[in-house]
Amino acid sequence: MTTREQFLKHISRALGREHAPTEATAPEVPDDLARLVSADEDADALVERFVTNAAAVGMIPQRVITANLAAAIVDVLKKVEAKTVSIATEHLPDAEALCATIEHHGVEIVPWLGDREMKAMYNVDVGITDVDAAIAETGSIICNSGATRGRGLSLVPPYHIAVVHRSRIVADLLDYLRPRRGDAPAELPSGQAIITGPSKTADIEGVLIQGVHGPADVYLLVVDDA
Amino acid sequence: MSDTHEHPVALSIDGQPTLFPSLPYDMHARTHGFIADEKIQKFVNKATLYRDGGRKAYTAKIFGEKHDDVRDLAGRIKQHTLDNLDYYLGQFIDNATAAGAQVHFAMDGAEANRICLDIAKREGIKLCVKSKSMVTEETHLVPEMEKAGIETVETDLGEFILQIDNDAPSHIVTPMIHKDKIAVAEAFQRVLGAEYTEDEKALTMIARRHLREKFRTADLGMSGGNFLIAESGSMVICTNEGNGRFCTTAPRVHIAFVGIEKLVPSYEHLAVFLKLLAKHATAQPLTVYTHMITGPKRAAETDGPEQVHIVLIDNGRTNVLKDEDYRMALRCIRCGACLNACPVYRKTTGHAYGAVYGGPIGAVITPLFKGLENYPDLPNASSLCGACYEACPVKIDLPQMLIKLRRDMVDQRVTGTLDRWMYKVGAIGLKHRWIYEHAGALQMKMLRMLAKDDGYLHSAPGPAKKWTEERDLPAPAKQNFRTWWKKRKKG
Repeated sequence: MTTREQFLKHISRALGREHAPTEATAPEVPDDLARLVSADEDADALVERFVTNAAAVGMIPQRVITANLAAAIVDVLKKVEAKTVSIATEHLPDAEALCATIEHHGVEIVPWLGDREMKAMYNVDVGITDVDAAIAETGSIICNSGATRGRGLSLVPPYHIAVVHRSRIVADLLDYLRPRRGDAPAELPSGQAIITGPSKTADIEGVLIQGVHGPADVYLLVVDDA
Repeated sequence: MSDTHEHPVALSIDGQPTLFPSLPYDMHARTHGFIADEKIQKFVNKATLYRDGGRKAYTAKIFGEKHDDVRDLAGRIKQHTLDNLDYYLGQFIDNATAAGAQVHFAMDGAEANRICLDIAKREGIKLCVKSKSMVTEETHLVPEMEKAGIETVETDLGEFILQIDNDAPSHIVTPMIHKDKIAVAEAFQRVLGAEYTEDEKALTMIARRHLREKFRTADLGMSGGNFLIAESGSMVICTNEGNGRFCTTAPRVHIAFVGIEKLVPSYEHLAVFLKLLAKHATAQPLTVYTHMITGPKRAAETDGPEQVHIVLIDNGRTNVLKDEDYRMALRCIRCGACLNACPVYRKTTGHAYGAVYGGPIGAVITPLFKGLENYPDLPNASSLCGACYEACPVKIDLPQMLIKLRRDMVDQRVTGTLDRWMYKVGAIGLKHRWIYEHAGALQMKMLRMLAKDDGYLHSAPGPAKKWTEERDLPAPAKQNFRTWWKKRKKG
């Protein structure tokens, strides 16, 4: 069995030395090269850019105000003929009222907390979550694992509804990843998923098919109250 | 129980195992087969040209004039990481361990497979779902798992089809680029008992239903890794289908096989590579899912694996690392752009390279990983047109390395005596003006003698025979440029 010491020594020797250096200074990542969307972009323009780019990668964005959020969610549930949903409620506005509205429309809410294997979710039609961040540059949403948001909600059910508050939208991928520098490994969420579209494949003759393993449609409700 | 239990190995058109032929590998035999196969020619040509065009248009639109500088930045970051790989790997191991992952070390493929099987046995694993990983192809993991009685299912749609049809991947990104939907329909009917259909959506949904059941019941998830982040001990898996997220979420145990060259210093540096990878691979802003994993599920989290094992794999990489002329080849982020851009790959197709990695990058790293004497044809399987270098998001100078490999072949006497002798004679001719001029004049006369009245050679003898089998060679002009120039000056 190869030990860490043997393994690293072999690499050091290939690099022509006996020991690894004690520090290294990585090249800088200059903004003018790596950034594709200006950090100074106006907030309204940023929302517009996010919505446009999210639609370009095949997600279905819609701008709503907080007061209309529950109705908009119910509309999507009706459209996809949902019978069951699972919801991560903690960060959603007026979650209790929202759940009552959903149940009032005859859709069952399936609990998911404590279900490591996500077994219940295989029979759920829709997963509803908020997001940790959204990226205007690429039209992506970011869903991190946590005590109140399961990884499976944005993956296992055939439809995903994500509630994106406009304050969560950042300009560039760099604006999400740069602040992660210095986070202690054990304090990072175990799973951070940057989601850029519905589940896609083009493996059979290059024909694009949605929903091969993950959701076939991702609905984004962009909460646009200033 | 002996060899009779061997997992069937995918055979290629020349009767040899597709990715692991007997060595030294003879590329010509297989290439002839593929070039004669019109269906594969049409298929691969269309798919690669489509991808190549998509990449060019999309990267030009997004990066504009700074594209070259961004590629340069990415190349510099990766080069720096490789030059300090011992430092960054040490940092990665510390941080991944702090996040609760278990890190293992494998010098070669056999050791990596053994580590995986030991964990699987200890945990009583029965069913493994696997996401696409080139390095597990290198180590030949799946047959080893099956031999040990662990059902192991590829879950990337392309890889799944290849697995049930006993075939092997022929492209880094689009593994079944050489296969059509009829082959898929027949395989699903034969192996899954599905109703015959050629509808792509229906075929995809048959696979979805079949694989969902596997995800639901698997106790082990296998994956590769696109990047490892030294500063946080995270690994990053980029997929479009979502199988990568499933494999690293649903099963209780997750094992990742990752080559040591996948390191990047920090999340900030990762951003540069994420911005390049999917745009060069499939003209997308990012892959649909970029899953960044840092250790197993936290106590408070609901879902996710209880154990995460990361197997760091050398398997010939230090051979490349130690030679400063070739170290750059390890910058590769496996976007597949050089395959799509390469006129030789487009004609010969991936399996012609007789190894896990095809195309220009394969022609460089396969001889370095597995010995130049075992793959003497690969460095010559290039027209040195430079399209691969233009396509590369991390600016690997593939043409230069192919030339260097050819030089090494002569130095190490891998090249045959006759070839070496011909190069020597050629070099003498090129160095001496008198010989060059007279040999040129002689060649001109001979070719003019062989030409027909229409001014073309339809069949030339000797080394030009093959060339004229496919096309006609125009006869040289009556006088060459030098003679004409001299006369012109006089006149």
